[in-house]
Amino acid sequence: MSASSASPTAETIGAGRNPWLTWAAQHRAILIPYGLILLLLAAAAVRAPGFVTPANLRSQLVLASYLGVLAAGQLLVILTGGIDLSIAWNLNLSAILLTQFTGGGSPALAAVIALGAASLVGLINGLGVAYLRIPSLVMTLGMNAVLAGFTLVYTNGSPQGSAPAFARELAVGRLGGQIPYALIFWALFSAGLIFLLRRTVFGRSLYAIGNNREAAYLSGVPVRGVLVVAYTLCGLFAGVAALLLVGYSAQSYLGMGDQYVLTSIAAVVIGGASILGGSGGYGGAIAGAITSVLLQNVLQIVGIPFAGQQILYGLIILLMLFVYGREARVRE
Amino acid sequence: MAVADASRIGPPAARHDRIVRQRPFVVRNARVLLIWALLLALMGVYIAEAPQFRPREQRTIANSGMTLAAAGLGQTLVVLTGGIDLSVGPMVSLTNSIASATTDKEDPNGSMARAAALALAVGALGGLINGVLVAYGRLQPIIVTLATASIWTGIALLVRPDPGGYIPPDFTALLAGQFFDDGPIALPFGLVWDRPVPSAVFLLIGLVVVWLLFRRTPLATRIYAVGSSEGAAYMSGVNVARAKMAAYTLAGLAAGFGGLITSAQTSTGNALAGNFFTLNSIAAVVLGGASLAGGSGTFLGTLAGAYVIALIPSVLFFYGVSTFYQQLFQGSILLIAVSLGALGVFRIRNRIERL
Amino acid sequence: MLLLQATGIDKRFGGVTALHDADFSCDAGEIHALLGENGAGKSTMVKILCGVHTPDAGEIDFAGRLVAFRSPSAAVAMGIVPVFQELSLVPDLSVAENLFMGIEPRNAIRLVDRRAMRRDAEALLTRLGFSGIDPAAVVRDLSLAERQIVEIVKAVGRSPKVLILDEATSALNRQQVEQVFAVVRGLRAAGVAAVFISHRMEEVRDLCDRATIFRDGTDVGTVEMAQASHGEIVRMMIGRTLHEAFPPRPPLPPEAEPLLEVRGLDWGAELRDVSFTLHRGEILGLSGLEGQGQGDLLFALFGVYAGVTGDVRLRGEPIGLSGPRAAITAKLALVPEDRKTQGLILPLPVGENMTLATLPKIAHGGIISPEAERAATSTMQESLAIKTASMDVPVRFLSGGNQQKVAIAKWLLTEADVYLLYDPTRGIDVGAKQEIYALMRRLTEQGHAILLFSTDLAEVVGLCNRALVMYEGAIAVELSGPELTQANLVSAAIGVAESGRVDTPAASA
Repeated sequence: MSASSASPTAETIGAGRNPWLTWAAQHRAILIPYGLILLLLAAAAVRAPGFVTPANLRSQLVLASYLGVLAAGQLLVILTGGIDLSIAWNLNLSAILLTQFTGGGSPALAAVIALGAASLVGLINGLGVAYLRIPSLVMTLGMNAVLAGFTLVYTNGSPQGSAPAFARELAVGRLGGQIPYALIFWALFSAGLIFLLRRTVFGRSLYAIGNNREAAYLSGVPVRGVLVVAYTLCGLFAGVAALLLVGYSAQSYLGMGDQYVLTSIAAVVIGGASILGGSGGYGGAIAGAITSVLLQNVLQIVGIPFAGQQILYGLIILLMLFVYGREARVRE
Repeated sequence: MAVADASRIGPPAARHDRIVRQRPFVVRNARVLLIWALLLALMGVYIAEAPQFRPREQRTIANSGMTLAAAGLGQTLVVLTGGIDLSVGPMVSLTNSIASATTDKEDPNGSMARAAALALAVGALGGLINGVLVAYGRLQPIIVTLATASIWTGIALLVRPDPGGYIPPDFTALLAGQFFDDGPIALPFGLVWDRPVPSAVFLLIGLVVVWLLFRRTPLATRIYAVGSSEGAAYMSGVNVARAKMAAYTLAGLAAGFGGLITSAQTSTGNALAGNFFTLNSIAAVVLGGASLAGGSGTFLGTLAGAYVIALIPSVLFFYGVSTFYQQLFQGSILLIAVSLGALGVFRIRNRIERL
Repeated sequence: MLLLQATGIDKRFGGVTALHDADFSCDAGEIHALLGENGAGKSTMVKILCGVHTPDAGEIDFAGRLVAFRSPSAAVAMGIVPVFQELSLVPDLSVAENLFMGIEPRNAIRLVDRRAMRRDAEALLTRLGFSGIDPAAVVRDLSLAERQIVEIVKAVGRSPKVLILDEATSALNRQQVEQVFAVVRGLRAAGVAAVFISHRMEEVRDLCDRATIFRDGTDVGTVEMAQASHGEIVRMMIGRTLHEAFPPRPPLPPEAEPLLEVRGLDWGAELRDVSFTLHRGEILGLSGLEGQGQGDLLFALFGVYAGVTGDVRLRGEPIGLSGPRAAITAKLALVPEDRKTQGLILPLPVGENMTLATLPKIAHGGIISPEAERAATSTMQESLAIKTASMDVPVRFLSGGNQQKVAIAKWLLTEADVYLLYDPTRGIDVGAKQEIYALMRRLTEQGHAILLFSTDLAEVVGLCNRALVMYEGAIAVELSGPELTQANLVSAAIGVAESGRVDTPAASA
């Protein structure tokens, strides 16, 4: 009885099939969301030709960059098999700290405090999840409430201050009047994150843990340390997103993070990551973020109200689950 | 040949016949009792600190956690299977919107009855959709219900783009008012009842009775079994998918009921009014001692958890604390509760299980 | 009277044949044993009989009718009720709820009649002689032995026509076993057929009327227990053709340097005062009945368990047992029991699996060097002859044998001194087995040492310099040289289990 005769082995995979199909199947997590982007743009082009102009696409991409940074953090946590619901108010608190301290005089200090606070929140989430084994859903849910309460108390209901000049420049400024700094930043950030996921010990450990915690542990991967770092980075990225959003809107306000929990998770899922952890990459999440932003704006342009957007949003997530879900079943 | 010392190879200590007994009541129900103790303490503070404790206050306090109790009942059922329902809140909003939009001022009571039936049916249907996707689509509950939450919100906004609509006053009086308003009532054995009772009290008693009856159906056993050990449940002949589907459907029904209560309490419709019940219902379930891994928990705990969450703002108010602290306290209590529950981690002897 | 008959059963799992043209039949009113080594196919056969697996070929007749079960519950409904070692009890429910799962007594309004359920559970437990268990107790709070009893009571409560007990008494003490046997004999008298699988030969002798012996996935004979001698049965079990030739085993020099010294290792009730020395160039076998602490010993040495006490030295230096990371630094390696859940990360590529334990080695400042990684993985692919299209193929697409080679390659890359191996050849094909045997021999020739737990007795005899037979967490017997035979291993394991002390012929020789 030869083992290779019955089960598909490495040698037989893809053999005798159209190589294009095989390639497409393997890269479906990239192809599908980018295809979705094209579809949305085509719809916009037909119904509202004014939408598909270089200038408008550029501003859509800038909007996507804010979400993209946030989704990066969510992706790290989702890759471990967790979820971070606290980014809404972590982002909000960070944004408020940034504007309040900028008002106090030192934008640099304000940025350090804002990013430091956001990272600290992520660190606490990570410690709770990794060392106390609190389910990430509950940990970050509780954290979100604590942060919301703290922010209300801290600001007494009305945030003060304004965006530091460098944040405004980063969020809406353009190099030579043409290339948005936000996109340059996002490109560098993406390159860094993809490098982190693919080429570093941390990235490898993240996928190992997300797929099989026990096997990773038995191979000497410092499981809890990696978890803490993932949540801390997620917090940090929420802070960076706060900085960008403060720059964009020139101020901070209460509730500015609320819509981003769903959209960050949606971006990651549309980008092909499994909510169970261990599979997915940032290349997909970038497309997910762009899809998310386009979905809102294109639907608006073609005359579908907010309600319809919400419905389509949910349907697309479900559709993605079915499309990507097939693979999971083979894995069982 | 080396032979080990034979004398120590007797049967180890665990292998004698011991009398296995059910654990004492207090031990079995420690977490539920703790949350009830916390609730009673909060109520004690409320009664002590409130300037008055008239029927009006009694009604307010009884109403305050009512929708959350209903949403929590649904969340409990889903959590028992080891799942999670993030669409509970939007379902409350959706059914509230539907109720407020399908009533007719010309025929308040008849139209309200139809609206209520429709709301409950929509709730159950929404839950059924969640259940089918989770149980038969084999998709992850967290992301499925996140997606359906978005869909329910969208539909609610279509039904009720702006807050408003009509809820007949009789309906408000029925679900959010009080009974025995009209003077003393004669009871058997010559007893007399002479004070009003909030209708929420009757609703709560109703929910508890429904729970206790449900707990005695074979379906309840199956739901616990699926959450406790899916493999063992399957080997015992349980139809795992059907049990899960039933749990989600009933959760949707409970959320629909929550939507009706919100309708009665607010006398209006709002497509976003119920959304915060998602997170609060999870908090209530966790505070009530259920395990998010499934298989253990009871609505009786969730009920206390719901009222703890609902009472915190009022108690803070009486202490002169800004309502801004409300979420801070709610979140802290949740985190402290789960942290205390998590301390057992350090007693686990297999480091793999500590991960 | 013939009650249940399976003929010509074939069953494959992936690339591995578990059963081939296997027959089994039992009569009403008899207790029929299934005997055989681990992996002989007994468990697969009973799982097919009760609807857990579907056979690839062959048919099953039950009470004169051809049957095909779609699920375990379909088999139970027809009266074929199994009790497995993997428990079918729901931990969060009470004993009574478990006993009556699916057959709950109802009251007038169709609700579960809890009082009646409790009363019936009480009556059932008492009738079968287990009144010490409270029907209201939650299963989670029960010991393993008590859970096995509840499991058996649950099966009996379903009025079986065929009762299957697959290692269902493994955790029970003598007295509990006697009580269970009394129940089974009572059922026999009522015309029920019982199929009994146990590693404990004395229990089989005590209880069973006939036995069918399985070997290498098929039945090799049925005997009347009253007539068959112990030796005859053991011969049938182990008398398989040794198609695995083991590489020659050079004798261990008497002055071999001690590499791993373990003194007084304790971990709760699972490991009790374990002491041994493993020398350079040695393969030390762990044997005994399943679940006697062999796996726990490997995990404890690798630092997976908290609260382990005792003195463990590697090359004379004490090691801390604080976790796999420290163990890897100390140059220990562990190939764990289940390669699919513990040894490998199936969805990840072959290459990433191989380097998972040596990431710090192939990285500088946390950044992985692709060159270093390629060098490491291609060396391993070559030296272990791993068949894969590329290093980027998810390891789940490889055959069992190649998967196991990847799992081992991961540890070879750590350049460990001592290899802890848990059944490294279970479920893989013959060719790959041979290669792994040769690899183990190579490692010892290079001066490494191997602690090998194998459920395959031929492996222990063919590969090891010495073998430790474990019983209830302690080392009961050590066998070496000419005494290291399959018969002696079986006898030692069974003898120890039966008497609770060491008085087998082999041990006293």
